[in-house]
Amino acid sequence: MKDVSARMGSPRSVWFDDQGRENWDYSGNPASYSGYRATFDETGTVARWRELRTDRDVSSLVAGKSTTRDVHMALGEPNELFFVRGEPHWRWRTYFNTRPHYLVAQMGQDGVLKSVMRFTIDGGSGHGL
Amino acid sequence: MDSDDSARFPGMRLHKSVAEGVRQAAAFALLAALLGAEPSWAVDEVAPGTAMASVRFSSGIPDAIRFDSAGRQAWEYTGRGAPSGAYRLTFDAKGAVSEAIPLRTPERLARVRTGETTGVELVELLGEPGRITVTEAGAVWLFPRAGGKSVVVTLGADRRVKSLSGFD
Repeated sequence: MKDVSARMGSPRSVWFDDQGRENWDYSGNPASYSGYRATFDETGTVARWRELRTDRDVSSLVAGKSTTRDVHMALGEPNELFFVRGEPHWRWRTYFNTRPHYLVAQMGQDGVLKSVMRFTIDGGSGHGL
Repeated sequence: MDSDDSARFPGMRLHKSVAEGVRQAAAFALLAALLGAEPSWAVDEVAPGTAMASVRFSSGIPDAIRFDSAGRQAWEYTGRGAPSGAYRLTFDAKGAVSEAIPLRTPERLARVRTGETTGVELVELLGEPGRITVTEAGAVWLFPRAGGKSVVVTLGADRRVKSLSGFD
């Protein structure tokens, strides 16, 4: 824990999973394109260190089944949060195919994921995943 | 894509709406940053029944998003969004505020017990810490309070509260 703190600084958020393990999320500032998560065991030693918002994380989400909590677990805290027609949308900045993109998770008002989309930040095309 | 495409593919209309929302949010954030503008930040005035979208509009992005064991969402405002103190807003299944809980009150701080309280309980009681540093003494969690004061909690190797300072 001391090494993580010395190298990465204070985490953006600290939370505890269902097993009671402490997690530190580094989602950076709103302009950050990357995120990391340290999961500690009961002795405060890193049990797992991983990058957030990878293709695998996105693929683990299922429209119509995954909940907002699942999205939070898989992708971390959003950089931006807005509403379209009353539906919450969480947005992160990511790189995809070496180009900067917005990754957007669209949730229904029932808290179930409706879709995940990517948009190029330069205003180009977007597509659902 | 032009309007004819939207007519042939209705799903594209929603997609374009979301794209527009993304761009508007980005433009608003940029404008706010340039102008130094801030939303009203009236977290302590949010009434039960307020829609999640209204909270986002009036109070900005939460400092932390949490979920209880039943999957209910809670937003915490613990930084500049809560000048009168840290707050947790819990939402019901329909996305309306069910409760606005002031955190870091004397009553909640009094429930933090040296040698007993765990990190899980600390987050539940006081919300997201403003800063965490790790020293030889343990993990030091700093909780800012209204009026520029802070409560400093040190967690020992057993992951329980070892010391507490800044308490009124």
